[in-house]
Formats: sequence, structure tokens, C-alpha cells
Amino acid sequence: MTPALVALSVISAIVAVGSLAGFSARVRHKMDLEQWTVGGRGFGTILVWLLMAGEIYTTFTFLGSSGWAYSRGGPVLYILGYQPLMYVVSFYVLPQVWEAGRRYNLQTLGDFFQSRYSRTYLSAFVALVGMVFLLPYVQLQLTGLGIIVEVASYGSIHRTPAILIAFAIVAGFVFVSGVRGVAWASVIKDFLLLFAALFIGIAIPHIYFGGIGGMFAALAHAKPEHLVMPGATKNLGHTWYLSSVLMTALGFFMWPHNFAASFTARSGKILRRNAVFLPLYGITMPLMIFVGLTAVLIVPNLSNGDLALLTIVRRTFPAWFLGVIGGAGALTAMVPAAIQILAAATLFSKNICRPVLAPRMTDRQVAALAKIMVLVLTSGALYLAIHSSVSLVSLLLMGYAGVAQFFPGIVLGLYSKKVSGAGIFAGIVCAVVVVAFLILSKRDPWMGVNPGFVALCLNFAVVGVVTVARPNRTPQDENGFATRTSTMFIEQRNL
Amino acid sequence: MRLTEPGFVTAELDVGAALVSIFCYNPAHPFAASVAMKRPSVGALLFGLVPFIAVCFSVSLWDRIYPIVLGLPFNFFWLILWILLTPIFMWGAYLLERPQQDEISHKPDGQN
Repeated sequence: MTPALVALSVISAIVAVGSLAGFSARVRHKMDLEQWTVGGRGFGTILVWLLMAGEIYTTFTFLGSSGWAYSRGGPVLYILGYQPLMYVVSFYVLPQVWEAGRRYNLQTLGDFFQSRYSRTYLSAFVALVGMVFLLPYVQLQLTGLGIIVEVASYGSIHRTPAILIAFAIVAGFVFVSGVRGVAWASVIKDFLLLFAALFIGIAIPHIYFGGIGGMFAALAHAKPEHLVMPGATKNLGHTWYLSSVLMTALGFFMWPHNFAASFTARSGKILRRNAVFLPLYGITMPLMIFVGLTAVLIVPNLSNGDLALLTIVRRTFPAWFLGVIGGAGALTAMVPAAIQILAAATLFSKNICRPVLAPRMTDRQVAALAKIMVLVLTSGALYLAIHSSVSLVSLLLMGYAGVAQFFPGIVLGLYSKKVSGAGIFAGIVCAVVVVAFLILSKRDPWMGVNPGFVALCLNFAVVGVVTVARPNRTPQDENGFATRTSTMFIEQRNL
Repeated sequence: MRLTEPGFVTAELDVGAALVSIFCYNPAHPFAASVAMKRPSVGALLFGLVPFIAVCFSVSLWDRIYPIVLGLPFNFFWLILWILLTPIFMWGAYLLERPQQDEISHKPDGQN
């Protein structure tokens, strides 16, 4: 057997086991929309932990963080910085979001805006922005999957067929089992990723430099500037670090799929407990970064930093082990991609299609449409991944900056009765325009500051001014949520 | 605890409410911050502020290679240390929040 065949068989076996775990999860549960999107709101601490770890630690964790350490150096510290802080933010936001979800029967990010502000144009716009920014994220997972298969096959399989096969599995898997299947597939993914990170993060520096300390000593001697900000970049300094960490930590749970994951919990307490313990899983990140830093000295001058981790693993270990790492990486791409597609499909059918185009749709029709959208969106992401352009990473950074703009709408919506739907809408529109302009015109960072952070400050200012100019007149209940709900909620109650 | 439980929301030391009331002060109802959804207490917010100061705002103080601690450059050591310390602080916040937590279960225990 050739090394490529060995590595690919191991990867296929791991992917098959992961998918089976997902498929088998549906057996005991009737799949209505509620079960498919939010798992019947019955997940306990462990399943929520798995689901969240499953969607947070993506191929960006796996290949991206080592790639940043390899190509940028010091600025990779921002990944270590925002990791614990985003859970700190979630501690104060997600339990309240869960509470609102239970009371007002919310399943998506768009539902939150609809039920709090009672403005269909606002929730449809939020859903559209969230969906548009999710696509490059899915595309990134696909590209990561392609890189893994390409490296593991020693170049004998091209990216396109590899992506096609793997994604057929993911689409089938979301289609059949919904969020519960994803959480169970995540069990295998999390254990493998944890094992892979611990093993290669310690073994690779050990093999080449006698340990992590030896690796850092060698790097501090050869390239000291690589270890502090701005590293190998010109403009990613401390101001950039501060603004990026703040923006990402505040905005992370505004990603529609991360936001919706909080609805799967059985109680708000479970989300608080998760916020306490999830940071510990983040210990995988520095280990991936160590591998990337080792690669700086051992395999310099790679064309693409994202190849650093797999290239050094392939150089160091036998083919079957490359297969294990590749399999962990493949699940790490598939599980989040599945959740992201699920979130985008539900957003489209529930918050864009039904309220705007077809108010008479029943929940069952919405569920059916969401399943069709799974296929449509997967195909869209496939198309983007195959015709991949250089702007992929900038699209994702735009996504991070873009979804962070939902933060005022969520947090002020939860904690203030006065903030108006018009103000929130104006804030998001202005901020998304600023983000798109600054990033697409290559002004990232803008005067040393993260563009998403600039937009977030503007966002808050606009919300304040518009709310004062056009005060909120929507009748509200004791939580500030609109009492005059739209047809979609009335229909839901009647079902 | 029920969502609409009166009383604790008007506690004076509620920073969340204070921040909100700057934004939406209503002279007719000085305690108009009586949004029934529970808010984090000031103590819990302070616990959360500590990791923010250590990891984010103090960046120029710790972004350096020397002294090397446990074989790690100081900046890496510092951030990894805070990955481990953050759960301790959040555990503190969790204990403070516990008396206010709702124990309403959507479904009986024993199901996942």
C-alpha cells in the first residue's frame, strides 16, 4: 500500500465513524422543526458543551491558528486573547438569550430580533446579513477539507473531487439528523482533536528541538521579532490586538449558529456552567500554535501558511498517523460546516422567506424549505470553494466584523426597554456598510484599528442618536419584547 | 426563580441596569430598569472584568519575550496562564449568580 492510500483509508474510516454517530442520533427522536433546529431545547451540560466545542473549534483552529503562527508570528496571540474572553461575554449574555428563547419560542437569531422589536424588515435584514456572512465560513471549512485531502494523498487527489465527496456526506448528515446528530458527531471530533493537539503540540517541538522550551529558545535566537507583535506583519500592533480581541470577544456569539446553540440547552444554568469550563478546551490553541512556530524553522518558505501544520506532520510521522491527524481535521471541518449550514438554512426559511414572501407557510413547510435550503446553500459554498479566490480570508474577517454588529441589537434589546427597532436597524446598516467598505478597499487595519471595532463604535452611536430621534412606540411586555407579534408567532401558537 | 420575580432587579448595585439607565433614563419611572429578565450582579461583572484587563487592556505591558517562564516567551506564558485562570474567575461569578439562577427546567432531568 502506498502512503497516500494508507493515510486516505484512515481518514475515510474516521469520517465514516463520525457520520454514523450523527446518523444514529436521530433514531429516538421525531424530527419536527423544533427538534431539527434546537434539539427540542433539551440538551444537558455535556451535549451543549460538545455542540459548542464542536462549532467553535473549526478548521480555522486547526489549520488557521498554526498558519497564522507560521506566516504572521506575534499577531497570532490575538487568537489566544479572544478565546477566554468570548466565554466571559457569553456568561453574561447567553443565559438571558436562552430565557428569551424559552419564553418567546425562539429558534434563530432572526426570531430574536422579530420578537423583541417586531420589525419584519429588521429581522429579515439581520437574517440576510447573517446568512451572507455564514457562506464564506462554510467555504473556509470546505477549503480546509480540500487541503487535508490534498496533503494526505501526497498530491494525488485534487481538491475539487475531495471536497465534493466530503460535502455530500455533510449535506446528507445535516439533512437527516439535524442539530442532535451534529452534537453526537462532535463527540468523536472533540476527542480526536484534543488527542491530536496534545500529541503533535508536544511531540513535534520535542522531536526537532528537544521540547517546547528548546523550540522557543531557538526561535528567540534566530527570529526574535517573530515572537512579539507585529511579528512578520507591518501594521498588526498593540492597537490592532486590543480592538480585534474586543470586537471578536463581543461578537463571537453573534454568529447565527453560535447564538442558536444556546437555545438547545435545557436551562440557563447549563450555559453559565459551560461558560466557566469551555475556556479549558482552548488549551488546544497554543499547542497548534507551537506546531506552526516549529514549522517556521523546519519547513520555511511554504507558499501558504495553512499548509504548515500538515506539511510538518507528514514530514515527521508515518502515513497512518498523518491519516489520524487528517481525519481529526476532516471532522473539524465537517461538524462546524454542518452547523453553519443548518443555521443559514433555518434563517432563510424562517426569517426571510416566510415573513417576507409567504406568510401563510406552516411550520412543516418551513422545515421542508429549510431542508431544501441545506442543499442550495451547500451547493453555493461548494461553488465558492471550487472557484476559490484570494479574498477568502478577507471575506471571513469581514464576516467576523459583520456579525459583531448584531451585538448592540441583542444586548441593548435584552437590557433596555427604550432602544428602538429603527435605531438598531440604522446602526446595523451603517456598521455593515463601513465594515464592507474598509475591508474591501484593503483598509484593514484602518489606522491600526480593527475595522469591525470602528464599525461597532459607530453602530452604538447611531443606535443612540436614532433612538433619541425616533423613540420606541411598540407596545412592550415586562421584558421589553414587543407584545404585538407578527403572524409567524401567532401561527406558531395555533399549531 | 420566576422571571417576573419582583425585587432584585431594583437592587442599587446593578451595574448592567446602571449602564442601561444611562442609555434610557426615564424620569417618570426612576426604576424603569425593571426589565424582568435577570441581570448579572455587579460582583459577577467584576469577576468578568479581571480577565479582560489581564488579557486585553494590558497588552503593552506583557507583549515581550523575556523573562522566559517555563520555557515560554513571556507573552505566550501570560496568555496561556489566563486560559487556565479565566475559568477560576468565572467560577467565582457562577457562585455569585447561583442564588439568582432559575431552576426551571424545560424538560425533566434524565433526558438529554
